[in-house]
Amino acid sequence: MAPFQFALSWRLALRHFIKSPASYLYGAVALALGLGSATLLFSLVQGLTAPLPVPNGEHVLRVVVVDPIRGHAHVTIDDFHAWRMHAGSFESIAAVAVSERRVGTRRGDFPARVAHTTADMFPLLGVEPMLGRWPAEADGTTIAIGEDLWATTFEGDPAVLGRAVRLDNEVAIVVGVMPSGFRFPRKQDIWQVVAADSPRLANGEVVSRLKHGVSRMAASQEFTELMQAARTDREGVPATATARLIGFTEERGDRAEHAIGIALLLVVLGLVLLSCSNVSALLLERNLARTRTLALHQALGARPAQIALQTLVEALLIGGLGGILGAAVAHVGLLFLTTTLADNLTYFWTRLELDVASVAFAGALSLVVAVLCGALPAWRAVRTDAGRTLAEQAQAIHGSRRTPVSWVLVNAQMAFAVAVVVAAVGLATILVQKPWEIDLTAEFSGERVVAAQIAFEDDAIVANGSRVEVLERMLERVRAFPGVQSATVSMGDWLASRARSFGLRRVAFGDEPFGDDRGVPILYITPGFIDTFAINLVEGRPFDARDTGSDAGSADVAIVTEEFVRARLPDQASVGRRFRLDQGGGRERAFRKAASCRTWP
Amino acid sequence: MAEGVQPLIQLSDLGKVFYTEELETHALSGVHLDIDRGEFVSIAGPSGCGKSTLLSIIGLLDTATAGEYQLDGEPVQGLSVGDRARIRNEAIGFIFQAFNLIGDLTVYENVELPLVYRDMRGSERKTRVQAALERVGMVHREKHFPAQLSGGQQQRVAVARAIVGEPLILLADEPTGNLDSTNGKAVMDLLGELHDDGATVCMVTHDPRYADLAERTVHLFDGRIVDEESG
Ligand SMILES: Nc1ncnc2c1ncn2[C@@H]1O[C@H](COP(=O)(O)OP(=O)(O)OP(=O)(O)O)[C@@H](O)[C@H]1O
Ligand SMILES: [Mg+2]
Repeated sequence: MAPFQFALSWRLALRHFIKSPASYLYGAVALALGLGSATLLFSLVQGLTAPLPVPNGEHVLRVVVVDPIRGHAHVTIDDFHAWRMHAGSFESIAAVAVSERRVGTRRGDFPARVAHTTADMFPLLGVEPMLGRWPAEADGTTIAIGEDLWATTFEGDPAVLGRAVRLDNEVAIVVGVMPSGFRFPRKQDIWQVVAADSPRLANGEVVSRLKHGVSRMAASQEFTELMQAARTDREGVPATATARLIGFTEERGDRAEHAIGIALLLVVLGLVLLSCSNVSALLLERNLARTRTLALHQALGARPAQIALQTLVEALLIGGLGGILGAAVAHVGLLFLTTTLADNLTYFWTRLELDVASVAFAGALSLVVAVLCGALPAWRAVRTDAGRTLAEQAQAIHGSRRTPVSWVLVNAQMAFAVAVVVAAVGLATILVQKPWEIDLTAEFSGERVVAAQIAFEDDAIVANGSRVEVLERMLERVRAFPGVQSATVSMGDWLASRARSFGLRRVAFGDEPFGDDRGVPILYITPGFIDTFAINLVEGRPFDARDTGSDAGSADVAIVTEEFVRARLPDQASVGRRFRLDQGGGRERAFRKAASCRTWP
Repeated sequence: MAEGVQPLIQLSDLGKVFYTEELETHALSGVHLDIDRGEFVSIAGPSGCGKSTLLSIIGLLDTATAGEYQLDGEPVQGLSVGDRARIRNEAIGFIFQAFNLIGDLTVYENVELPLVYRDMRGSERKTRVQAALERVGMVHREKHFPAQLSGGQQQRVAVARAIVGEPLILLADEPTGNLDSTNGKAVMDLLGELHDDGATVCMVTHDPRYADLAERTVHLFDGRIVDEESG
């Protein structure tokens, strides 16, 4: 088709638009909500799944161990060494753990996030420092700092290299400044090298860069075999555990996440189709009002494609306006999500923004939607009976008859669409925040509870097993604080992390064998827990001094949830029942039930 | 007219039946009609006798249900929609009772439209449109929109649009029906001049005053040609 026929169609479409912008804008707004939420979802998924921004970042993968019964399991130092020594599928492999340290400089103390990595992490990532060099000394005496920290605390002074800073009780020399934006692996400010067998790596991650041409499957297979050969008997992890290589942002989402994700996708798809059908109806109506003009174009020799083009161009105009408005909607939504979710975004490179890809997506989708919207009206326009229409004596050439029904429909759709967009943004927020992972009951107000995380990084404490003493001394001191009502310690990082990282243990009553379920989550606590969280026991008694210590012979006691009782001990007196916990590796531990409580947390 | 020269329009035993719910309307039956190049034919008859239907079929806006139609020696039954559109564009110029200018296009753009659909280059379009507008005396209004013109002026623009593509035949369905007598006469004079310059015209009119312009008048009654007179 000749370009001047496009020009004619655009000229006509623009004149129609100028003549009655309301209906076009209405259509565009209707589309904008659909296109906007689709673009928002696209940007969200893109942002949350962006690979590590280092050269060939898609080859840099985490190695995780998956226990088929309990989900994720820890990678051990032994596994790490086995892989490092014997595996051939990677170019390099390194380990990293994170912690928070107090940094002391001449200007004062502040907390900073530190990454403890093996020395080969930096070459693995392929990121060059902006100033100086990578820290290499495994004794931790050298560190690299982030550009952000350098620019603020050290005022961008190049003489920072060689300066000593205090990290808790150690002194380290700054030897490098990492490039702007680099905060690997999460949102770190300081990098320190540790030996490959350092206990600091105990809760860390193993990172490997795959060789070109090696598939993840093949690498996972090799890693699994090496791991199983290396660990003959390991606490809590069965021989069926497998190693798996996954990207940093490829969380193994739980069912709730998947469900919400799919619900979002369906909602957005429905919204797009709904707005599409309404714009289609709008165009049909406009064409109906212009039947005579369409017939006239035919009489003057417009071929079917030229007639269709006219309607398609109008659809493109609405689609284009809708796309621009939709991109604006997505932009606002992303700004909102970025501000509300800033703390929930795990990785330093996660950006929820309308980038080039998102704009391209919005453009492509608008185009598709426009063609979709325009197809039926265009087809109907082509089928206009020119002879009959022109023979009719109707005088009116223009003047649009408006059927009120379609306007009611469009209005209803708009209202619905706004509601859906609000719901979608809400769902997206939920998706990222995962509030179900901290489920405080309604009766409980957390306002007066203060939580702190304790990590034993002094190797001596870990080695001689004096953790319990340290904790007891700490609790005593905390209780002595004025205003403290009660204090407790629990194992596991339950406030900060996810419910699924609790230890799962299978339970059996009496002598019955363990089932093959995934087990129930267990939280180890001190007696003060029940008081501190003001938990109302349904029956039985709270823990007390009798229950601590591990006198031989006395079974440990447990408090279980009402839900657990309902599921496992219906219609039976539950207090005092004995049950066993599967400790893995064939070991078991006997328990006696002390009480039931409401489901918490 | 010399023997053996093909008539421009050749209709033989043409019939048209409209099927509506429970009703068959025989709008045309057994119509034989030849129109030669350069002829001015007028079609007359009472309302509902099939005049507009006949013109629609001649103009390829509609198809006959029986009989044959040859345009410029070529049978046009069974042509594709696209081919029919092309022939309409190149061979036929329409003038309607209701002017039927496109309200969103200027006078110039209205006249240019058939040439745009013909994929003609811009410079050639311009000369042709200028010439057509000069022919009907509407050059000074080329930037106006139809709503800014009087009925007579609109019909003159419609005539310009019909002749701009130099069609084989002009089809006019009651071109004066919506005009007062002065404007009506002006438009008829214009058609007369075009005919004098060699155009083939086929016109439907009720108005006996203009019938004498035509060289031949075909009388239709109830879908059949009942009389032909040369005048
Ligand atoms: N699309 C159609 N469907 C059904 N019947 C039709 C259709 N078009 C025309 N007719 C019928 O065909 C007959 C001829 O109609 P036509 O419009 O050709 O009459 P006409 O001679 O032009 O009348 P007028 O002088 O009033 O314009 C009429 O009876 C009309 O009702
Ligand atoms: Mg008629």
